[in-house]
Amino acid sequence: MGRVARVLVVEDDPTVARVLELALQRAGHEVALARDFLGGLEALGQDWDAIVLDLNLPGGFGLDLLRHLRQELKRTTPVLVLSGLKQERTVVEALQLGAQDYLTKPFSPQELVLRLERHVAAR
Amino acid sequence: MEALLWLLFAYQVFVLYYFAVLNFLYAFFALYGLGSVARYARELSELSLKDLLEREAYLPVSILVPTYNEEKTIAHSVRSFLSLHYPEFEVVVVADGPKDRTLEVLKEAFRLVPVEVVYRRVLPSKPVRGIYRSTLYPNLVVVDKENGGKADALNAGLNLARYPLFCSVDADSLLDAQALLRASRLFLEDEGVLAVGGTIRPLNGAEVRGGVVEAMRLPRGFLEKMQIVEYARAFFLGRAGWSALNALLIISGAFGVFRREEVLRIGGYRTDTVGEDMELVVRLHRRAREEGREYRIPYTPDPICYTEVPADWKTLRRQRNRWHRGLWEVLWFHRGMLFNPRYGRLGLLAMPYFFLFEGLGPVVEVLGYLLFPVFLLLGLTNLDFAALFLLLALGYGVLLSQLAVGMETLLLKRYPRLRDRLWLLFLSLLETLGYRQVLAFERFLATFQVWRKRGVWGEMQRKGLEPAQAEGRKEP
Amino acid sequence: MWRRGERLYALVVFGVVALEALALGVLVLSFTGRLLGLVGSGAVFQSLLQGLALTALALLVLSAYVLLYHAYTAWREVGEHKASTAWLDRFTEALFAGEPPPPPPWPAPALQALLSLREMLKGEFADTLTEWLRQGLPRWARVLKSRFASKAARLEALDALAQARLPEALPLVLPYLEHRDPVLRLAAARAGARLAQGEGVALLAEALRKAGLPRGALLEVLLLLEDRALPVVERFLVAGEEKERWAALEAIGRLRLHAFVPQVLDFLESPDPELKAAALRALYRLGYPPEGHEEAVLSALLAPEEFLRLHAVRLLPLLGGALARKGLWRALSDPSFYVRKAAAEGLRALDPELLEQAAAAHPDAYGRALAAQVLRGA
Repeated sequence: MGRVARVLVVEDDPTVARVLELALQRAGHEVALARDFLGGLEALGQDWDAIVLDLNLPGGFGLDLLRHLRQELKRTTPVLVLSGLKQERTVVEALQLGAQDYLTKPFSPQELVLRLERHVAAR
Repeated sequence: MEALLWLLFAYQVFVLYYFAVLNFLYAFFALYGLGSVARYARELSELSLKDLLEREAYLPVSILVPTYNEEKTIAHSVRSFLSLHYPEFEVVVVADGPKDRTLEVLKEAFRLVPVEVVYRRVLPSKPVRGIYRSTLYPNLVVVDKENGGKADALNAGLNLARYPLFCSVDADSLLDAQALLRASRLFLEDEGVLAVGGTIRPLNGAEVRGGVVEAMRLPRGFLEKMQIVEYARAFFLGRAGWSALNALLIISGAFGVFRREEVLRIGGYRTDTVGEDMELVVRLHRRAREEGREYRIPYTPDPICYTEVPADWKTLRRQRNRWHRGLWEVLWFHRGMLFNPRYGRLGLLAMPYFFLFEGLGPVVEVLGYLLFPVFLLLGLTNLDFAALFLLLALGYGVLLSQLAVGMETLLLKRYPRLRDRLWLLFLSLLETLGYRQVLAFERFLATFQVWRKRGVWGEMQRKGLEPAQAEGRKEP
Repeated sequence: MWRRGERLYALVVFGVVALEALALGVLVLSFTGRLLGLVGSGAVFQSLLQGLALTALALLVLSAYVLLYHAYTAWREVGEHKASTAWLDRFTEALFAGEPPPPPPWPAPALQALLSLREMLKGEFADTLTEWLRQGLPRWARVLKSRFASKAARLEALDALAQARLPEALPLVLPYLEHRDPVLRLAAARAGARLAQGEGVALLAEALRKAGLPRGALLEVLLLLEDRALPVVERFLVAGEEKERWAALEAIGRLRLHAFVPQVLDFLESPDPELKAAALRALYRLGYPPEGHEEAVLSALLAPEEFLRLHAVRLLPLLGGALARKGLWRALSDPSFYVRKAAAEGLRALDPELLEQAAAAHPDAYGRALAAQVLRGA
């Protein structure tokens, strides 16, 4: 299938976090979780093969993490945004800030994993 | 001499009846308030809240933040407002001619650039020296103006605000992430809603990380702990009760959401009073009633705002002095509503209550204490009777406070430790043994200072956040 | 925001307050009697002592209740949280492995876990979860049909059905749209919007018309329906009153339902300013030029209502041509600040050179200032 990826999941909802964790682990990847904005900020300091990013986080907005990653840390880590926000302008802003993909909730875990693997392989 | 004795005796009798009526009313409010909280307990589920958030079903809000000398905490506060979960909003910070580096701190922290804006100056205010926007946050606007007081700053902010709703906050208010959504959805669902008040809880002692309250903990200071009980009583028993009667006269300046056009229409905030928050609400009621419109001004317990409460006696007394003077000023401005049936429950219930029991209450209480030795000396009082009566009065006070503490136990974000719960119940007892009397005395004094100190604020000794909290917010 | 138990607490409070009121009443009576010389001071003392005793008792009972409640709920919640997490794990594992779920009956935390899973997932997994959730249907149905269930329980059941998205539950939800309590009506409307499928949507539309919901709520329901909203929108436009029509027009714009453009254009001729404005807004959101209805837009430009003029101005750039330019130019001297601003922004989009001209030479001073400001991009 592909190599083992180190994936960071930034998500505050325990259900989604658990589903993502399981889905990614079953596909053979290593998963680390951050549950809020500050946690995500800290975790960004390490190296990841891919990041799954929620937007409505306690303590901040996910797109600010993305901005920090791309503009200040200058990393090109593939980022998949997974959010309940469906407004066009949010999607556009995320893509403009450098996210590879934007998935809305409710989501399909298989689809997410496949897309993630494709972005990781494309690096 | 006979007459004087008789007068004094009559006063004793009066005090007893006053006490009886007051406590009947308190009990009535407690029940009414509790009933309304129970009724609306699960009105807005997490699910519906999520739905509202994810779709375009909301009204955009302008958050007005008047600030004076707050250089230590302003950046942190503004950042916490900017990170609220709300689809569309702006933060308008109005720097009211600060004498310290508040404006400089803002400029640095948010990379502000000056802009020339043409806007509609509906409300008069002190001159605006400059308007700034942030290159980091497109929805942040900072107004620099000459000093004119909080109400004046709010009016200036209102002129600039662009959304149909506005939310007035204190610079040190910490809003729960969902507070704005919970408060503003009422405006969407009911067009008659003119203003909404939420619950204010003391922030002191809470564990705050990244602008989010993670856990409620009792603060170390005795005064701060007392205020926790006080606020619980004031909101869950007091405001809930009045709101259920549709006669809510107070929406706290620390957190309130209003329809902008309505407030502009009635002329904005009055700048010649220290009770500008209450005055606005009373005027909103008054106008709507005079125009015979269907309207609502509710308090809902769910939107929560945390605010720092005074930790030392001096600031606390100054604050209560100011509140009480504000109350009298508002009662005076709107004295035409007192006992006036044209204003329905407001004129016949709410205003008289605030006049007789909130306004005059401290006077009656302190006079009671002061006259007590006089009565004893003159043999007008039976010591046993008086002592027992005092005990009963205090007992009722404790009961009400404990009722409020019980209500707080129902909240999901309550003080979780059982030990703290015990403390709070015990504090209800201590409250009546000194704390309340000191504040009653302060309010007693305030009653006589209203004329002299018209519209005068004091300055709060800003404690700043405790070190553990201050380091929590890092910045990308 | 609140845990369960408010009913019981209200009862305790009522009891305590009633006791106190009684004690106080007796005291007042005996005191009055003493004043009038009807009773001796002994009676007053006695009632005072009784009052004190009752108060002390009330305080004890209340503190004890509060402490017990706190301890009990804290303990129970820890248990529930663990159970919930455990169930979530089991269900998720079963889901991913394609295995059947752990056998029912399932306790409340299990249903909670299932519901939050259903809320988050779509596709095959969602269908499987819906199948599993059918197990919960009897319990929720019981609550909704019961005559004695508390309001909180009903709201929870409605929410659960909304999350579960079980279309067969619609007949349970629809009667609540006629409930006395507006809170329940609203919750039912939201639940119905999530549940309704196929023919159910038409039934929902009818029930909504009779529900007497405020227009903001109706809009919310339409937005919740998303791509199933068409039949409801149609029904509202044709047979609804002002509220329904307003909500329908708003939804057409926000949901981008281009199929309804002809009806929206018709509403441009509506005598009701709110509906007219809603139609203008919808066309603006759809990005559809109101060709053939220029007169209606122009008359809106001259309307006494500020919001009408504002929306007409925002729509003008879509029309393009000399008509739009003239209209925008004139609107720069509108008495309303917002209309002028919209006109300047419209000119910037349509014809920036004309905007520059306006900044230099427009007869109205405010118009010039605003044009200049918009040009600068402030």
